[in-house]
Amino acid sequence: MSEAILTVDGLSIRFRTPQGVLQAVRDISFTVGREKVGIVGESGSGKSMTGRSILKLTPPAAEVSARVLRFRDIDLAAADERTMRGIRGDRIGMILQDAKFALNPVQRVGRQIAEAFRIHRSASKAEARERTLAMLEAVKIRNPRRVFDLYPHEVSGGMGQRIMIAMMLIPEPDLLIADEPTSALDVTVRLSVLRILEELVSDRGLGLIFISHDLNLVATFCDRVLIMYAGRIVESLPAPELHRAQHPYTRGLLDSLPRIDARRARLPVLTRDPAWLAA
Amino acid sequence: MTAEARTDAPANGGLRAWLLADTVTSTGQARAQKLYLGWRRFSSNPLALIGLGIVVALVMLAVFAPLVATHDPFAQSLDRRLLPPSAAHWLGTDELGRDIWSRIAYGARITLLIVLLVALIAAPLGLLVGTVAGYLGGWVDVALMRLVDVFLSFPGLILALAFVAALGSGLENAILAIALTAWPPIARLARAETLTVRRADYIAAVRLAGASDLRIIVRHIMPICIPSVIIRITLNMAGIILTAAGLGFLGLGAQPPSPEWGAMLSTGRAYMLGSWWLAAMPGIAILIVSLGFNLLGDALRDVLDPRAS
Amino acid sequence: MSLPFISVRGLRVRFGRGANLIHAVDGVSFDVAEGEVFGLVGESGCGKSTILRAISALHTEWTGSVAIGGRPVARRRDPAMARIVQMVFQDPYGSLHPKHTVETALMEPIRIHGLDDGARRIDRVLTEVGLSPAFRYRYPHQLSGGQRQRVAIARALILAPRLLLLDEPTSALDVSVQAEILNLLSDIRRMENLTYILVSHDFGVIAHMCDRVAVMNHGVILEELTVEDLMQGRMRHDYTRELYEASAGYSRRLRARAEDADIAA
Repeated sequence: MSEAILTVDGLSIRFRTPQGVLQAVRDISFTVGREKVGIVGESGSGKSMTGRSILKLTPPAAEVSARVLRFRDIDLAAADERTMRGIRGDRIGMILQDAKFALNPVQRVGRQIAEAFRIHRSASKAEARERTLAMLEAVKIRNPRRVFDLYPHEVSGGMGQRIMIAMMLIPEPDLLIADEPTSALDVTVRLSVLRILEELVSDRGLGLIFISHDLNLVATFCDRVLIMYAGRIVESLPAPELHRAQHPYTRGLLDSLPRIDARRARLPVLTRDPAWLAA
Repeated sequence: MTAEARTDAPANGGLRAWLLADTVTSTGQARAQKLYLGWRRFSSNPLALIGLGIVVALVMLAVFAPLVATHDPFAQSLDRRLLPPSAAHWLGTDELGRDIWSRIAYGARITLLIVLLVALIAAPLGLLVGTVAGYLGGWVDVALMRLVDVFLSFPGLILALAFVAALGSGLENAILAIALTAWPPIARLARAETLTVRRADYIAAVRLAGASDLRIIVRHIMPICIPSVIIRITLNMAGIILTAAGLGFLGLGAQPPSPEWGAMLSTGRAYMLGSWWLAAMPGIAILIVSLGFNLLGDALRDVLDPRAS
Repeated sequence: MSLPFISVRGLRVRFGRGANLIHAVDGVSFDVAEGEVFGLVGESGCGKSTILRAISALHTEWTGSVAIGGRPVARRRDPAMARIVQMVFQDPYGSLHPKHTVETALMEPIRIHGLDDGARRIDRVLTEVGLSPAFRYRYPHQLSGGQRQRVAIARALILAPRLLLLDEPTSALDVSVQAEILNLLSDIRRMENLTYILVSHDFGVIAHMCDRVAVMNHGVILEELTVEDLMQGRMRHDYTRELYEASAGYSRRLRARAEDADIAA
């Protein structure tokens, strides 16, 4: 049993709105080791907020509290902004849904990746460029030198995601948080990007938190799955055992998915039980 | 004999409840609710209320000028020239013995007239040209935008000068000249918004319903552009007032003895060292009104622009 | 042998000029029978949405021929088409006018065509899509994604069309809401005897809703097959098989095949 890279205990996030207090995440706890952990939920379940709170990237209006929020031996909850800046991108990386929104549109991509490296390591420009090219090769980009000089709008969706992965992995972090990294990609491209991600994660012994709404994808890609509903983790189980899920919400989600191998006249509709909110 | 007691629901409680009700039963109520919520957001901003207050004060001053003025703004009194502010003349007298406060009060009418007429000419014209050019595209867009470019290529005051020189000086021509310089930026703005909106699915949906281009432009595209136009024209008000004051300053706007603030400022120049109040008072009036419109425009942007969070 | 209800022959749609010329749809032909649910599946950029826009005359620069119910589709604005074909769009957040209430949005088609039974039609479609009268005077930002999509469906039904074009109607919705909307679409089709052309990238949705499906890539139809054949894995084209297997989720067995699909730098 590998040691936990990330430990979260009793994490809660709330927002003060003119209409009252909105509880986005309610008292959730989980750990991440050298494994791929998937967090699945629908919109409003709190999964994205959870990912952002680890890096303290929640909106200013969010109030985050936790009993324990620990990354290796660093207490994230108590860390100040300076410490967090040292962690972000260097020891914990984050991959977002669309590279076009995460990359600077007026800088060439190679330069951005090299910069990400030089921010956290004092390295010469030449060394950073070498590392960048090596990283672009590692994400299976066939012509790294040509791609180095491209602008973000000149790369396709799948390549953009690979560039983001390269950018996040070049400082050699311990933990990677991916928030819907493949949702904007076509199905076939999605698989190749995930394959690269899987290789890199297992080769380098990283922890990966994979946030998505796609239950099927998470179940087949990750090692463990956490199902979130209304800010709570309602179920946590190993991915291969997802079909044996117990919680009615998980079962409801699974049943309501249209299946390619079994046609039904009507899809069972998930009925939300208020009791789930009290769990 | 007892008077028949009438039990009406208190008007205030009923109206407020209607505006905040969860179940809405008419389009009118839906619109009223939207306006009410907008008003609440607007009034939670102190600067917004200050801006609105200034604009309202301008309107009140203009409307009630005869009541608040202490003297006849045109009455000259050569033995009471250049008197400093006092109890008898709140803002002093000018070089012809006219009471400055009364002239400012009546001058507010002119300022308000300029503001209203320019807004009423420039905003609809710019909105129409911009939305038509943006939606129809093609040669219509090219032709209209080249027209806009022609107007935009002149600095506002220079173009206004040219129009006034061609049409003759006077307040009406000054207003027309200013309006002609104010509409092109509005057209550009409306066109830019139209280009974004044109591709939206809700426009495609109403095209599928069989709507004509005219209907789409008027009922579907213009409502999206109107908030930006309102914000832009409000923020432009300060510039419009200053341009009018500039024209008046140059003697090309309202003609003497009209109490237009810019003209007052111009004549007051000659007396600045000795009798500062001739120039300072109209200057402060221009300053306050420009500030008021700027604050109002900023506050409207916060309320009307859905992108600003 | 009855004539097909919808007949598309040699449809070609081109965008751009010269060096930037893109053949979005490159010679597509297919038929749809009345009452059928016909699927168009493919990845982004394959031309499936463009076909819908050409059929509905939202896009008028195409060549080829399209006929609905024997009536050729004109390449210009034709208000009469509004009572024959309607469309439901993908993004519920972009398909309703932000400044119009539900009532106004539903009344618009009625007003355009000068119909006088507006109130009755609105009541009927709102009931059909399962929205209570309380929703009539709401603005889109006050509605959830699923509710907005119901309004969009109601709007498509208000002129009682015979053909509904569905452009990824549930892709932007949560999984649980998707099931409700798919059920709703099935119910409505049966009740009103409509014909559907459904565009999706999701094989699960296609398998659930459609009778037949055409697989598209780069503007052409690679193959047409029945849903039974699809579900049994009886596809002829490798690309179809690739999409079919990819929809089952991530699998390490697909590594080798994905290597070949790598995008060339």
